[in-house]
Amino acid sequence: MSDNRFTDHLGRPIIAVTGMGVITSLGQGLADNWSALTSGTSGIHKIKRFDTEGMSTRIAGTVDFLEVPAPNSVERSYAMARETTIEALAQAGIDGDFNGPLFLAAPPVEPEWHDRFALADRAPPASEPGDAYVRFLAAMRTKPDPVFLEAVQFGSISERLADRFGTRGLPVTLSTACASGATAIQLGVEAIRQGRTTRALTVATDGSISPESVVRFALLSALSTHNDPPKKASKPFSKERDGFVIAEGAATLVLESLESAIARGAKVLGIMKGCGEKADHFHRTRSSPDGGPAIATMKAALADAGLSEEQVGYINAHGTSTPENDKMEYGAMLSVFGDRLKDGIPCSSNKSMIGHTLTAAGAVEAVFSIQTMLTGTLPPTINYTNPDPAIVLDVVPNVKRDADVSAVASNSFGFGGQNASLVMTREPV
Amino acid sequence: MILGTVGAFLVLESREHAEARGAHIYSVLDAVEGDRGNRDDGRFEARMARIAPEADALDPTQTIVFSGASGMAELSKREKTALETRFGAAPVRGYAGSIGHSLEAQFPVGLALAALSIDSGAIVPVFDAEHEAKQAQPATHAVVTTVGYVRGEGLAVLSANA
Repeated sequence: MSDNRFTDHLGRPIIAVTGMGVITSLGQGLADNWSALTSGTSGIHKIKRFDTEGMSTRIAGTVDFLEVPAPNSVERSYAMARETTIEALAQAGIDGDFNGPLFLAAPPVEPEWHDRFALADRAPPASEPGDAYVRFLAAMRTKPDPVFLEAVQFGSISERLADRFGTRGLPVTLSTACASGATAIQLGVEAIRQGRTTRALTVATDGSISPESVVRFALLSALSTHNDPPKKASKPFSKERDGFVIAEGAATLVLESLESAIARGAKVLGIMKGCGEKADHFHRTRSSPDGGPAIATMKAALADAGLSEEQVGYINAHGTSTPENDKMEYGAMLSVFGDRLKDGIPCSSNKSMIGHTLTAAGAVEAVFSIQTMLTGTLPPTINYTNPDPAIVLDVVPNVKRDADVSAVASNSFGFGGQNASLVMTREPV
Repeated sequence: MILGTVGAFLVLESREHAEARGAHIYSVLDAVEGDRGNRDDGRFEARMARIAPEADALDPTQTIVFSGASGMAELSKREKTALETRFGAAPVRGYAGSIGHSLEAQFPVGLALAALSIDSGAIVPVFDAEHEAKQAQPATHAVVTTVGYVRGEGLAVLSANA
């Protein structure tokens, strides 16, 4: 590490992104996603996976085009993660065993309703009030159900990925709510910086849309109820925004030390320059009114990257389309980037088109951030017809824009106050 | 397997940081390693013999093993054999027999029990007389194991603060 071409402002290894894969409701693969995203296409649609009769929210960005052996969150999340990893490794030119650690952001999972109903159906009849637990245990004892067990273990996603791609060591499965994807990347970056590995596989996946997840987020009043037309529901930074649109997706990024990437002749797609994370303990779901933790998160990412705010040319916003997030995020960005924010730094929300992919969002949007720099195209914020007058931003309204961008900041601000920001650059320095 | 509800919280500090603030050091964490993979054809035993190589230098007469064994009969039997192979006559305590299997919390609670027993110079009582030997003298080292009931293995080594 004596060659300073390969170390950053703090003498740490520079981290290159050498492979990317992505799936969203817009489709499979980076090419299809990017084409849809830059043409302002929405992937949001009526939910067909289950009956939504009587539910206040009946739309989502489900991913329904992958075959799964059983209809549950674990199988869907694994299938998407597998496909995005195949894509990313192919782009990185890595064959055979990966031989580096796996950091996986995976959704919290629990038994699907249909599995619970099926268990109830085969449980013996009630013999006394309140004996459901005993009856369910009795039903499980009569017929072991390994498929059901796998369906309620999110650790089985990383295990299958580890076996399939030959990652090294015990994979880390993590959840930091809506910041999970960014956290997985941060762990990969830190593993390389600490010299524990020269490459890391960072994957984020979320296939957890079920009646339960929709009902729960609806009970938090977090979801848009703009069911018709679905494509218009996600409207970040708009005056009439009324909640996020729950969605599914996955992304994989292959991270390598720049030195090792160059040594093996890999194409460097971008640089993962800095990561910042801060906890907001103000409230279980609400963010601190002064935006302090969000501001500190962005500043920490910039400091880690060794960049000043003037050097950031585009912000990939968290931009969930909830009244709370967009207001808070704007205030925090204004505090960090100042007056330049209103017309000097374009800032768009991918979620206007793909919805909020929750666990996967930080990684999905990191992929799109790198792609923004590679292609010189800013994806738009669609459904931006009635701007919130309290939010003065250049959101790249409704239509993509050409722009030469050399540094991007991407925010992920999760429920429960789990904040993470990433700073990516096109070039190593 | 009998499930148990457990909360375990460990504060880890560098010795320098702990001493500077005058904190009591229960134990020193010498090594911790996890791994996973296919368990067939001796692969499980090979991993249990290899992970956390720092454990190889331990004197069995000075060591106690806290096993997080889940209670899955066949798997726990294989773990017991692997521990005997690696740690000889060191007494083993299967703490799930006392608190149940606490899944994600099982390994950290084992670390806490090991640290407390080292710190207090305890003779740790036998949890299961049929399968566990008496501890002859207080231990200055402890090994903590976790073997997932489906997947994953881990092993840590703790020592008395020198």
